[in-house]
Formats: sequence, C-alpha cells, structure tokens
Amino acid sequence: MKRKDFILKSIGAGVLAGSASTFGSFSSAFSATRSSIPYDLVAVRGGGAAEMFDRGMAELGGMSQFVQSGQSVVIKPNASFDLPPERAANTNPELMGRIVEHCLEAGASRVRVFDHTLDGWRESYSRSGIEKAVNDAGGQMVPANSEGYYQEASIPNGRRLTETREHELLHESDVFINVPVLKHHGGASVSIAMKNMMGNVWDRRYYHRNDLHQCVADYSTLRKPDLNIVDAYRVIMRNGPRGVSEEDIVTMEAQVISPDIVAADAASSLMFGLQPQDVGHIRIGEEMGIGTMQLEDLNISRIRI
Amino acid sequence: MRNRVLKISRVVISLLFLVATGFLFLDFTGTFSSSLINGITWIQFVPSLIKFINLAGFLALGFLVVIVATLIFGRVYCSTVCPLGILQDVLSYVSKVYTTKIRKKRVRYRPSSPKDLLRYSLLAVTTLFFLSGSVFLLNLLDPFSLFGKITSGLVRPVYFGVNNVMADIFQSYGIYTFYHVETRSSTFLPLIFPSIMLGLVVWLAFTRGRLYCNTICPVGSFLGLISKFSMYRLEIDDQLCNHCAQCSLNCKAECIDLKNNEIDFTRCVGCFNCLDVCSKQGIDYKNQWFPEKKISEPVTEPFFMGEPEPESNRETVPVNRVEVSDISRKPDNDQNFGRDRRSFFFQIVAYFVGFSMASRLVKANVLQEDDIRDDLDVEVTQPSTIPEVKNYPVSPPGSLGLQHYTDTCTACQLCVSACPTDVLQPSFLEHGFTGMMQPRMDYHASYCNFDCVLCTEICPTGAILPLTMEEKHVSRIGLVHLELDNCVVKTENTACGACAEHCPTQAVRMVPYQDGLTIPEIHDDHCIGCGACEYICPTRPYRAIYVDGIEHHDEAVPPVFEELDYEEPEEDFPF
Repeated sequence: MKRKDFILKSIGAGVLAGSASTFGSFSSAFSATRSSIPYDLVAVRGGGAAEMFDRGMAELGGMSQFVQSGQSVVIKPNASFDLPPERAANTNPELMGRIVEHCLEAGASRVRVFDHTLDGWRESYSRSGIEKAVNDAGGQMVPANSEGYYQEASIPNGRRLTETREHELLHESDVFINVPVLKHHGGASVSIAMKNMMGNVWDRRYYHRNDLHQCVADYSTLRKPDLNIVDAYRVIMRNGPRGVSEEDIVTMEAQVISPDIVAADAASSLMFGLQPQDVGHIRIGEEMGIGTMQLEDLNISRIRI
Repeated sequence: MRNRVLKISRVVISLLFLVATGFLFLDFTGTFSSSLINGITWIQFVPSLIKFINLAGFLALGFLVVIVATLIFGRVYCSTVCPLGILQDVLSYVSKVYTTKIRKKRVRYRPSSPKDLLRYSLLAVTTLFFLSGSVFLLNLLDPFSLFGKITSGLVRPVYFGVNNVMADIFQSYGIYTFYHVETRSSTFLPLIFPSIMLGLVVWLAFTRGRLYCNTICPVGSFLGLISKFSMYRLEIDDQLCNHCAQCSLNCKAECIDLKNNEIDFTRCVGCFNCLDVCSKQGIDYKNQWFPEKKISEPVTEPFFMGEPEPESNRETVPVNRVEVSDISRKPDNDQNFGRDRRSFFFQIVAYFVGFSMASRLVKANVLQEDDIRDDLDVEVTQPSTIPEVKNYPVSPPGSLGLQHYTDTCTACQLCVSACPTDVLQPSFLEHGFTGMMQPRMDYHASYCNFDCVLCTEICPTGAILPLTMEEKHVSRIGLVHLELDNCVVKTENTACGACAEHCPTQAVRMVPYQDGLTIPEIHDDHCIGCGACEYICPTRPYRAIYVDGIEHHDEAVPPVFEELDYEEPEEDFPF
C-alpha cells in the first residue's frame, strides 16, 4: 500500500509540475514539449466552436506543441448518439473538423477518429455530422462497433476497474486527443473529459455495475490524453446525456483546453454550474493523482472573444 | 434460335431476381432504398397476397400479376421470379455439370408421375389455415419466406464471416473501409427449421430437379392448378417430334411423358429447357384457348410466343416501384381498411383462431434464454434477485399488436436482415408454435433506434405497416417495468443511470436519491417500449429495468418540452 501511495503521489506531483504522463503504454514523447506550453489550461468564450479552438490553440502555442511531424493521431469525440448537432449530445462537428485540420497542419501522418457509440455506430457517425467534418478535413473515421477492434489493457492503479479492453487505435497511435462535449448526465451528474473516455472501452456495462465514478477515474489512471478539448458551445443542461429536445440546451459558447484531464473537467463543471468536488469521478480523479481540480494553482488563460 | 433467346432471357431475368432478392437478405450497408426493396418484393406471390388482404390495397397487386401471367403462360413465376425456385435451378445446374462433366453420365431426369395426394393435401391444408386467419403453414412453406429464412439465417453469417476476414486483412494495413459485422442472435434454435428445409431443397434439387416445387410448395401447386387452364400450354407435335427424348431428359419438373407424348402442364415451371434442346421444334407453346385452325407450323408461333413472355417480366419491375411507394405515402387509410378486412378473414373458422391464440400466449419468462450472445459481458459482483416478469413478446413498431402481427407475418426475415440495430431477431417459440420464427424485438441483443422506421417501410406482407417518423416517436410497442430492488444504485449505493442515458423520451429519468446519488424513476406514459433501458441495464441475472410486450400497440404521450430555467452566470469564467 505504501508503495502504491508513493507511486500515486509522485505521479500527482509530476502532473502538477506540468510534466507528462509517466505510465501506461502512452509514455509520451511530449514530456519536453508539454512542459514548455505557456498555460496549464485555456478557457475561451463567445465565439463559434472552431473559432474558439483557433484562439485557444494559438494561446497554447499551436498544435505543434502536441503533435509532431510524422506522428499518428487518434481523436476520441463524443459521437455516441444518433442525433443532429443541434441536439448537442455529440461533439460539435465544426470543432472536430478544425482539430483534424490543425493536426494535419502540424504534420500528423494520419488523423483517425472513433467512438464506441451508444446508438448504431454508422447512424451516429453520420447524423452527428462528425463523419463528414472529419473526412472533409482529411481525417478518417474508424469503426469501433466490434469487440475485434479492442485490445486487452490492464490498469495497475485501478481500484474497481483493473483490466479492460480498449480500442486498438489507442495502442497504435502516437498522440491521443480527447474531445468531449460538456453536458448533463443523469447518472454521473455531468459528462466531460474523463467520462468521455468510457467510449474508449468495449465493456461499458462493467462501469455501471461496479461504481461508475470509480471506474471512470480508474480508467483515467491508464489512459491520459495528450490534450483534452472540451466542447461547450452548446450544452445539454438537463435530461442528459441524450436530451429530449432542443429545449434542454443552452448555447454557452465556451471551450476548455488542457492537457490535464481533471483540471479540464473541473473548469468545465464550474461553467456548467457544479462544484468539481460534487462530481464523484472528478473528486476521485484528484484523489488518485490523475490531475488537479485546484484551479487556483494553475496558470490559466481566459479569453473572451 | 427463338427458343434459345427465350431460354437465355429467362435465365438472365431469373438470375437478376435471385441476386437482387438474395442481396436484400444479406446486405448490411443499407444499399437499397426502401422503395427499391418494395419493388423487388412486390411481385412475390404470397407476401403480395397477404398484403393485399391486409391493406385491402389495390397497390399490392403483385400476386394478381402472377395469376394473370400464369393464366397466360403457365408457371413462369416459378422459374423467373421465385427466389427459392431459381436457387434450385442453380443447384440443378451444379448437379448437371457434376453428372455430365465429372461422372460422364447422360441421363438426368426421368419422367415421373405427379404426387397429387401430397401436393394437393398440402395446398388444401395451407389454404384452410390461411382462410381461418393463420399464416402458420405459409410461414413454413411460402417459397419467398423460406428463401428469406435460409438466406438470412444461414447464408448471412457466412457472408458476414467473409466480410470480416476481408476487414481484418485491410485493417492490418490500416485501412478501415471494410468493417466488422456480427449477428447478434442469442440462440441457434430458430435456425433448425431453415436448416432442415435447406437440406431438403438441396437434396431434391440435386436429385430430382423441381420435385420440391411440385410436391411441397403450396404456391407451385396453386399456380399448377391455374396453369391447367393457361392460354398457352406446351404441347408435343406428333409430326415434328422424332422421339429423341432430349426434352424429357432435361425437364427439371419431370413432367414430359413421351410414351403418350403428353406434358403435365400443372408441373411445368416454364424453364424452357425443353424448347432449348429440341432440334425439331417438336415441342412448343400452343394457344389452347383459340387454337389455330390448321395444324400449327413453327413459323406462326414467334408471333405469339417470342414477344409477350419476356415483356411481361420486363414490365413488372417498374410498375412495382411506383405502386409500392404509394402505399408508404398513405399509411393511415390503409391501416384502417386493413383492420376491417382482416377481422373478416380470421373469424371464419374459430377453431384455428383459438388454436393459434392459445399457442401465442406463451410466457416469455419460460422461454427466456441465457445471455449466450450478450453484446457486452457483465461481471456480476452481486447477482440481482428479483426475477423479471414478462408476459408477451414485443412485436415491431407498426405491427399494431400481437394479433395482427402474428396473423400476417410469414417470417421471411427481411426486417431482421435490414434492421440497422439488430434488435429484430427471429423468435423460436416466443410467438407460439404457429408463430415460429416471426421476428421479435430482442432487447438483449439490441434496442430499437428512436429515429428509424425502416422495417415498417419494407415489410412485404404488411405485418409491419408503414409509420411516419412522427408516428413512430409515439408508437408504443411495449411498456417499461422497473424493479428498484435489482438496481445498482439501491443495491450497491453507486451511481449508474445507464437506463436514463439511453431513454429517448425520458420515460426513465434520474431523480435525487441519497448521498448525492440519483436513482431511476419511470414515467410510463412516455414509454414507447424501445428497449434501450433493458438493453443497457447492467444487472444480472435479472435486469432492474425491462420492457414487457403489450397485446395492442398504442400511443405514448410525447415528451414534455418545458422551457429551461437557466440564468446566464455573471462571470464568464467561474474559476
């Protein structure tokens, strides 16, 4: 137990210091570049989803801080629902297209996008508008509908979730970008970056059966995105994560970008109107040293367009 | 020459029908539009007949075209349109190549006497059942539905397997153009019957040509009765025939008796093999209604025969498309008509109705299978304790209710093949013995997509009637049941909300519980019975939330769209 604590604490410290993830198969090549980014977190408000992303990334020093020439990129949006962009259950397609463009401009060898959808995957990919946006921008949608696409992964630091099967692209790609949409969630209070990674794995029911918040946090100890981009352009405020009608939605015109998944979740949940410590997996995330929700300790850039 | 052309056009058209119909049951990419699918199935005799009776629609007249065609040319349906018949021809062809090329034998078919007792008994029983309102025997014997059962149940998994191997090969090169597909059937039981029938069809086709069509198939026997009176019937010309016996040896129906120079036209499937092989034009169609005054000469016949036959085939397809798309445009009228007409039919013989009713009310509980093929395996830490109580199977949206559905569905499996979410699965005995293999909504395999009406658009028999998207959104096919004593929020005191997450109408919603947790609450007036909650509920062996079928589909209350009470916070960045 002591040894585990030590590991956890040192990891926590490492993240706080702004260094890269030090475990998981994602031992990143970006430790050096990551520490050189000017801000720990960028929050943008008052523009289109793509426009806010352009501004935010400029603030962070551009996508080349995260993607180097020749590297392969995998992006995980929320494309889980057979619903159109106006219903805000899926990540904004315009934003997705722009992220792909940024990656390719930074010299990415290929940019691939997947989500283990809740609704039918072909319907969801297409209806969300993400398929078209990604293809038009030069990226590629990859199926995630069959267990064959998933590979075993063990989670040494997991408390309830100690092994799982995650999408093979996460093992094959050099850079992992997590692009959740901020929204209400009936079970998990709010769904942001950590929760979005439930679409990385094959067996979602296990989470629900074995303490949802803990499992979400457990998985985040294994898979740490190189960058989290929280789309809060349109936000489902109730009846989430699916929503019933456009009445459930507020056009918030916001975006949060950070390599620290817990910080991104904390800032986004505050925008949503929830205290981060009231959201189980965010609280546990900090406890387990995945990142920090102490936003006052971070160097944050706030941009109002 | 003319006969050659006749045969070749027959082969080409029949292969087109076989490939197109086969593709309907194999395709998983949604290539064909609903109206094209309807166009292809429009001419299929039994589905069209049932649809006609159901809708009292003058648009489902494909069967009438078949009857008229039979009345003029004999059973051309059997050799050009019927997919099961054409499948047998393909098998016969294989057997022919095997016999002549490999075993170097010449004799293939011998004339045989008709199995009248068997074929007409089967036809009579099938008709009796049908008139009494039960499609049970058509479910078992209709050639189109049987072809569907075989293709969907047995060929499709192979097709998927080949696709998946291709997908794997491409995937290893980082190409994801092909993708994995899986059947989600949880049991092999519904495949027993198609397997037996496929075995029978293959065996008979290999050894005896079209014996199946002339003995077992009720459509073949029925059209055979009509073709007794066809205008054009094949006849042997005693003067031209030199008794070379080629026609008889090549007759798949084994119906040419050269001893008496007679043809049993009730068994002739109109394959034109005899015409093709006869070098003397000693066998040919003769107008039996208005016979030629003088002894017929081959010269006069092209006028009658050469032209109309292929033309009639060519015409049928375009006619389809127009008419069937009309159906989908006017679902309301047709449905109302259908109900009246339907009740007339199945109240004729109460005995059979009672029989099929009794067998339908099988408790789904008793038949519930294990989760053999569950999409996601669930590790159970603490098994749930309260058994689910299900009384009825769930029939697809647009099927009005169990009565209408089970009385009109011939279990062709077209909806099963087309369903994008795979929630439609062949049943085994959930719909009762007489409803064998009629598809059911299997919420352990998947759930019904809120924004999808595909099955309602393509059902060839009208068992599933067309729904608009607006109608579908409030069409209730089952009702949700919640057992909180199975729910993880209560039993484990941890967060979940999977059911509410999947519910498209918020008939299940999460309400405050304890320790900051939320727990499901059902508002069943909004429930449409799509099964999403049951599908995703993680508790085992019993689910905390599930959908039970209802006898009669009804209308759910649409979700309430309340205005959102949201105040823009003063700060842009509350951190």
